[in-house]
Amino acid sequence: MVPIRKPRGLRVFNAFLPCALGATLLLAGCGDAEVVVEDVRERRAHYDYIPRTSQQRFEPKRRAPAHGAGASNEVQLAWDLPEGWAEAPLTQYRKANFKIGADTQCYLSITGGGVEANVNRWRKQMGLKPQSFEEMKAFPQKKLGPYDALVVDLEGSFTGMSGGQAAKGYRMLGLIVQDQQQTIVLKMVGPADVVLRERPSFFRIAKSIRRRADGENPHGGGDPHASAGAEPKSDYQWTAPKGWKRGKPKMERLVTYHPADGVQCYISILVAGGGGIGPNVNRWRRQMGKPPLSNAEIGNLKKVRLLGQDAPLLELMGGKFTDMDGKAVDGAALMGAMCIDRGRLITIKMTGPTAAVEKQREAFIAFCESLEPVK
Amino acid sequence: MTTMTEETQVPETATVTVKHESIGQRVVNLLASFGLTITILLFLMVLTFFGTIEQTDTNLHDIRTKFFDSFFFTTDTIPFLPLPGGALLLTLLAVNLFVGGLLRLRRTPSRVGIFIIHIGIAWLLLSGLVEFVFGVKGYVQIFEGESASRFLSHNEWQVTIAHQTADGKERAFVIPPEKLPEPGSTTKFTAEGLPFAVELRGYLRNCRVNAAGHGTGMDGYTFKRLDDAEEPQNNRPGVTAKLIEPGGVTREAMLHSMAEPYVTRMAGQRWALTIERQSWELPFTLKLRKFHKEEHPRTNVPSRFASDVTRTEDNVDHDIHISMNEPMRYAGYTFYQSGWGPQNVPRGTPIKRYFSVFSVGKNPADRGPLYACIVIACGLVYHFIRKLRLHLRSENRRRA
Repeated sequence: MVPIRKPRGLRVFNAFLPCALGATLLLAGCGDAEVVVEDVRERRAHYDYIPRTSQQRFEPKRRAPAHGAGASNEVQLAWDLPEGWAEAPLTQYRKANFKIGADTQCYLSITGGGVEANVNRWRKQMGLKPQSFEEMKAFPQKKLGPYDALVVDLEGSFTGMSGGQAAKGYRMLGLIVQDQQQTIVLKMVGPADVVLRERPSFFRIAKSIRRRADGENPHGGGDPHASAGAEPKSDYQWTAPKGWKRGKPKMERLVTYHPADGVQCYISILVAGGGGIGPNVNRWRRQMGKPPLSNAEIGNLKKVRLLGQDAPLLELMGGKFTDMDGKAVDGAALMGAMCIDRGRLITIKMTGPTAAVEKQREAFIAFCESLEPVK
Repeated sequence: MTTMTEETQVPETATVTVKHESIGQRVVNLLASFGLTITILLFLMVLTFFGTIEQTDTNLHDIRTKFFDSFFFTTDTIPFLPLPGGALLLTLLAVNLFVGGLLRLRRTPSRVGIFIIHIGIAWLLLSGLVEFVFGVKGYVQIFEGESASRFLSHNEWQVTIAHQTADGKERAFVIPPEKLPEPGSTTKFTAEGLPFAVELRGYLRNCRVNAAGHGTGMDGYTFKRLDDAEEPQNNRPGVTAKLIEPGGVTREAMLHSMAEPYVTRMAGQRWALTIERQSWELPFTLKLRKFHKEEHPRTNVPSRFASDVTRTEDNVDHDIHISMNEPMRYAGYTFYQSGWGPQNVPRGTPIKRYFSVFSVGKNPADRGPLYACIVIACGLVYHFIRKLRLHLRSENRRRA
């Protein structure tokens, strides 16, 4: 018998299959790699390049302190707080939060999902059957800030978001309106008699909700801290030397001061070590047109007490300072200190004309030594 | 091509003739064979079977990617056996059709119609291949009065590193989805003109950002890994990025698809880093002037919706009307009116601005299927007319 052989093409195909699989597995198994980005686009600007804190980036609905320059785009709101109402701490989705007595709460939230879905969710919380969209159109309307919002008034047994035991004899009063993709809601829930009593106050506060004016605090009146320029929340505190004026908040800076004309001093925090002390010391030296130092040379620099550590103190006088925008200033000086604290690089830096910086030298060291974690 | 034939003597009874063909001839024979056609069709049946069964647990996008866009796939039933995927089978079918139906078909007048039909089918398959390899699909959402110059992917994500240029525009370095690191691995990216390297690690297909408090995670935040969303467009990926200057200065940030871009200063410039839907730039801008909709009586269900848009290219405006069955085709792009918003708004609630959603496709073989069908129709018409003529002639002959 002559063996019948498979056509060669089929054999090649069969041989190719495991090879292709092997190559695929091999490539998939490759770990860390370096890749050159080839897709480079010149295009219309899509981002605003406004620096934001992690809180502003990840929790934009939480009301952050007013930040002035470099602040979030979030609209700050104000309202006229009725008598007997108290402001409660904000939670992630509440733009305003109030307590009325022990069991009654009222809050303003901006959410999604549309009117129909939200109203039926509320009805479910009150143990009521869903309503059709047509029925909702018959709801009365009242003012919620600048909007004409639907009034939702429900009575029943209230089961909160946690889905625990239903509280009997409750009432829910809500105002709801859709603006573009956002559903804006003001909602009050509590024992029926309290909600009924506070009904006029509820509509008054709803009508009073407005964009917060400069210097105004949320519940009307002036904000005593607004002019000072609030800084991002920090777990550090310090004492500013006498005569130092606080500057506007800036990107990646915890605080900025102006000790004298043309002189600025600021504390910045970089997460994950910011590359470490050595590279950042040499970055500052590069800004002053000085050659980099070795690690041993950095170790031999003068020291200043910073957050309980001996931090290297840089004193670079009479050089050409090039700031981060690439602007060069002759006859400038830079004083700086830095240390690593809980994985973060903490830097304090003062720049300005040499004579003025020299005058502020002792104040700068005192400023460094005053920095401490909030207890 | 010559064929050599020799006879081999087999003991006693049988004489077997073995044709020694060249390798090329054998390959052509294999590719042109009906056996291959049948095998491919059987595998396509298997593919469709598994693709359909798996839809009970998986979404349509993942099914398409796993079974129909792939060269090989495996199933949970027989995980050790890779089976040919849609891309491989259709490629083979095209080759089989081309070689068997076009190259080796006897070119007689009686076969002209069949030959034309084969050309049409090959064209259809080729169009599919071109779309598979070069085509992109996405969407763009535009509010009235606003314009767009790029469209976005429904399911894929990219990391973008951008800075503003002196003319107020933007220079963006885009890391495409296929280059993003696998979960658990780290990839370092460099680029000509990028003054620092970017290291990406800990890529998660679907996650949320948790506020872990000061001293925990990065700046008090951590990623919480989530299961993949049922529909891939609802996944919200995140990744950790580290920017490394040549001097060793670094910045580190968490990028999340729902968060604003991370903005920092490096090398004297402000840079924005973000993970966002994969995007493609358009060679023109499209501005939505007005959105129109008509509703069925006493309902909010639209019976018809359309958009008046202005396409601007090289400072020249063109006013265009796009509706559900009237797409805009231009420069290889097709814009279909696919959606609008905001929806679920009770009647009487003031809506300041509507937005339109356009499905956007870029497919170099956009009109391929249409032309292929015309060719197939021509082939069929020719073939059937010829058959009819022959039939009538034989009938006449029989009657005579």
